[in-house]
Formats: sequence, C-alpha cells, structure tokens
Amino acid sequence: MECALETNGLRKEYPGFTLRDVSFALPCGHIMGLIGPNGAGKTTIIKLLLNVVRRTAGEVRLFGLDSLAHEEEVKSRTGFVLDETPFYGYLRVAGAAAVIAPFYRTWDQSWFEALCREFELPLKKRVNALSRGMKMKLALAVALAHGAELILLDEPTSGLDPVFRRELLERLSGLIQDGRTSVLFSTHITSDLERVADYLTLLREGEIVFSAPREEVLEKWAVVKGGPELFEGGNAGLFRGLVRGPYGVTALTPDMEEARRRLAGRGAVIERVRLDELVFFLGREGRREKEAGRE
Amino acid sequence: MSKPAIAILRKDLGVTRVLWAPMAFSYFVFLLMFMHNIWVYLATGACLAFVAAATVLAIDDRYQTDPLFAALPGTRRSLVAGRYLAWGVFTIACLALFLASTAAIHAGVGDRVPRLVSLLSLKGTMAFLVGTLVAAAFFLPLHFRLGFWRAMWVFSVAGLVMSAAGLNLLAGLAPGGAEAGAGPAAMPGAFASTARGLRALAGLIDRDLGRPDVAAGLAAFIVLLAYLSYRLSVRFCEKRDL
Repeated sequence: MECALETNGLRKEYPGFTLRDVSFALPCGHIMGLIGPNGAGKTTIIKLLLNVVRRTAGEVRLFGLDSLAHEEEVKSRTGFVLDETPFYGYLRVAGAAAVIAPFYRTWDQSWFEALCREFELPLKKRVNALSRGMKMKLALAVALAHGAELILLDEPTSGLDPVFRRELLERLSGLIQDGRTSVLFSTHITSDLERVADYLTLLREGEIVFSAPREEVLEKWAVVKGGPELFEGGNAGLFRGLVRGPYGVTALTPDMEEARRRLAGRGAVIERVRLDELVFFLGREGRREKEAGRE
Repeated sequence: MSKPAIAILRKDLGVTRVLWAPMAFSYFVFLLMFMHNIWVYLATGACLAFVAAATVLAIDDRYQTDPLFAALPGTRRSLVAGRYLAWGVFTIACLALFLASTAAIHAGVGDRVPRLVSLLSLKGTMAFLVGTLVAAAFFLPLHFRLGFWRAMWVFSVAGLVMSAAGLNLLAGLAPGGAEAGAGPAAMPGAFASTARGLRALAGLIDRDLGRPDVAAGLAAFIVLLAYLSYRLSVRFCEKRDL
C-alpha cells in the first residue's frame, strides 16, 4: 500500500524529554489519529514532520520522498495547522492569507474565499480580533486552500464549538474520499477520532505504545473489572494501568480474547475499550513508571 | 533566487507596508535634527536603516511566526536567503530615502549646512552602505543563532566594545586624525582616545572613500563579508529548532 507518510526510528532529544524511535506509517487516503497525554510528544512529531524542529536521528518520508532531501516539494504538497496560530495580528484575514499564498504554487484564492465564507470568517476582520476558534478556522482554511495531499493537524478541534467541530470532522472524512488525501490529526478529544480515524497511534512519554488500524485497537484492547485476585500471579502480565478502587480493580488488557479465556467463570467484567480510557490508563501507567524511575 | 526566498521578501515588504510612511517622515525629522554635524547625520541615517530592516525581524519575533515560515514550502537556506534579500532591499530603500532627504534638506536650508551636499556623492553612498551592511553582516548570524532579542543585546554590547576598541586602535595608528575636528580636550579623559579615533575615521572617509579604487575594494570586502555572513546564518538556522 502506498504511504503518504512514513517515519522510521525518528528520535528527538531535548533536555528532560526524548522522543524515542518513533516508527509508523499512514497509507494514502486515510486518517490517522495521534493520541496521548500532555507531554507525550504529539506536537514534537508534527513539528519534526514539517522540519520545524530538527531530528536527532531517524527518517521521515512523505509521499515516498525523504522530507529533508525534497523539503520544498513535500511541503508544497502538505497543509498544516500548528498548535499555536502564528499570524500577524494587525493584518486582516485576507492580508494574512496574502502573506502565505506566494509560498504555494497551487494556492487557490477563490477556494480560500469560499472556505472563509463557509467557516463564517470575515475576510476584512483583523486577526487580533478573532477568537481562538476563529483563528483555528483561519489556519484550517489556509491549510486546505492549496489542495494539499497530506494534512497535518495539531489539536485542530481545541477551541472550536461542537457544531463546527462536527462539521470539520465531516469535511476531513470527505477530503479522503478521493483516495489521495491523507490526514494526521493529533487531539485530546478522543471522541473525535472514534468518529473519523482509520488508524490510531498512541504516544506516551515520547514512545509509541501502538500504531494500528482503529478497528484492530478497539477489538484487541479491553477494560477488565473484577476482584484484586484476578490481576495477580500468572495473570499480572496480561494487564496494564491497574486502578484499585473500593469495589475492586480496573485495568486494561491488550489481548481481549486471552483475558476472556483466562478469566472465564471468575466473575470478571470485560468491556470494549473507549479511546479516552486507553489514554487514561496508559497515561497513568506511564506517570507511575516515571515516578518509580525517579525514586 | 528561489521562489520561497522571494516569498519571504514579499512577506517582509507586505507586513511592513503600514510602517513605511511614518518611517519616511521620522527619517526626515531625525536627519533634520542632526544636519549641523555631517558625521552624526550620516551615522543617524545608517542607524535608522538598520532599525528599519530589523523591524521586520522584531515583528516576526512579536508574533512568533518563525515556526510558521519554517513549515511553509522552502528550506532553511531559502528562509535565510529571503531574509538577506529583504535586508538588502530595505537598505537600498533607506539609502534612497537618505539621499532624497539630504537633497531636500540641502535644497531648503543648504546655505546653513553647506557640507551636507558632499554626501550626495559616491563617498556618501559608500559610507552609508558600508556602515549598514557591515552591521547587518554581523547581526544576522547572531539573529539566526540566538533569536532576535538576545541577538540584539549581544550585537549592541559587542558592537560598542568592538567599535571602541577599533577606534582606539585607529587613534594609535593615525594620530593625525585628531586634527580633523575640534580638539580632544572637550572629551573626558577616558574617551579622548576614542574621540581621536572617531575623528581619524571621519578623516579617512572624507579623504579616501570617494576614490574609485577604494570604493571598489570596499565593495569587494562587503560582498565577501555578506557571503561569509550568509553561510554562517544558514549553518545556524539549519541547526535551530523553531
């Protein structure tokens, strides 16, 4: 399958944080959700893909081309929304677009204006006067106005009202219907991904926990609830992110079938996992491991 | 020149569009204030050109747009090339403004400042360009290495120290320069040597800068300095996380 995006052994070292050996692939015509707790490295990955920060090691290929050797070409085929929306505040919306447009050969001004109308973004309004949600809409309009084949979005739905958020997700689903456009989408709002993502990549403490098709993740991972004795002894290795409460223990398992087989007839409740539960349990596990490491 | 570098230039001209009219007015007013001393007048013109070009970088720093432009089509090299190109265009525009202001002031009150007309020449143009471009050649690599404000601090402090050292050296090498103006007695003791150096520099500019061979040599020096500065800036920018 042809990939819009591939990373191999991607590594970035900062003082106090290292993104380690990140490898994943996004096939053309699909949406991938990048999830994980704060500080997991989602924004760093998107900045590495755009060469805004420099990698320490590893490889990034966009459309099969090395992202450093063919930097200009791959960027001209990529649209993006960064976590901040750095536009000149004193310019009007139309002026902000005029600053960006000369960088793209395929910039379509009429398409940009149509997107602004659709997003209810007044072209004559100054960027400073826009709310965070409106600035995000401007960034989205800019990202979409040059017919990008790969769209990288860093927390695009934060600050957006539920109506527009839903519309945006529908638009993203519509975009990939041509089989050519792909989207990588980082978010905290995991319910968004349950609607649209074909692939999920979960990051924690700078490492990938998994990168797989959404259906595979949701079929394999499960939440298990039961008495503490179920999670001890030979079963301990099957569970992650244990949470002890007054009525028993709740944990995640990456192998629902195996958990069902081992716990059959022992009073365990095994449920399909939701994405927010995955982030919660695995994020908490990572925090505990970090604290244990410090001690 | 690559398309992204041209796009950076267009962007820089676009975002400073609103500043040009007030800038031209204040340029004229500042020059008018210092018209009685040709050297202060020249230094003011060059300093204001530096400030005008640096304003673009200050605006980018204010809105934290570096990640945006690093993510747009283009390489770090084209980003740096665009900045140098923009700096060059701003310098030329300010030179035009400087010469036009000088001509206007001379036309208006020329009888009170007869020496001002000497700046409307190869000598005046060269002095202006050398001052502005040498400053840019040192400042821009610092900017790409340290970011705007840290670079500005380092550049200002190091620039003052190095200028003072250079002027003192010049005073030692050309003691006759002290004759090019009022005596050094007017200055406090610690600055007397620096003031002598300044006068020696003024004497050198007055005497030699209008000569075609000196102008050609200086032009070659500026081109070499700009090239080295550009290479250093590319190196710094390519390594930097934005």
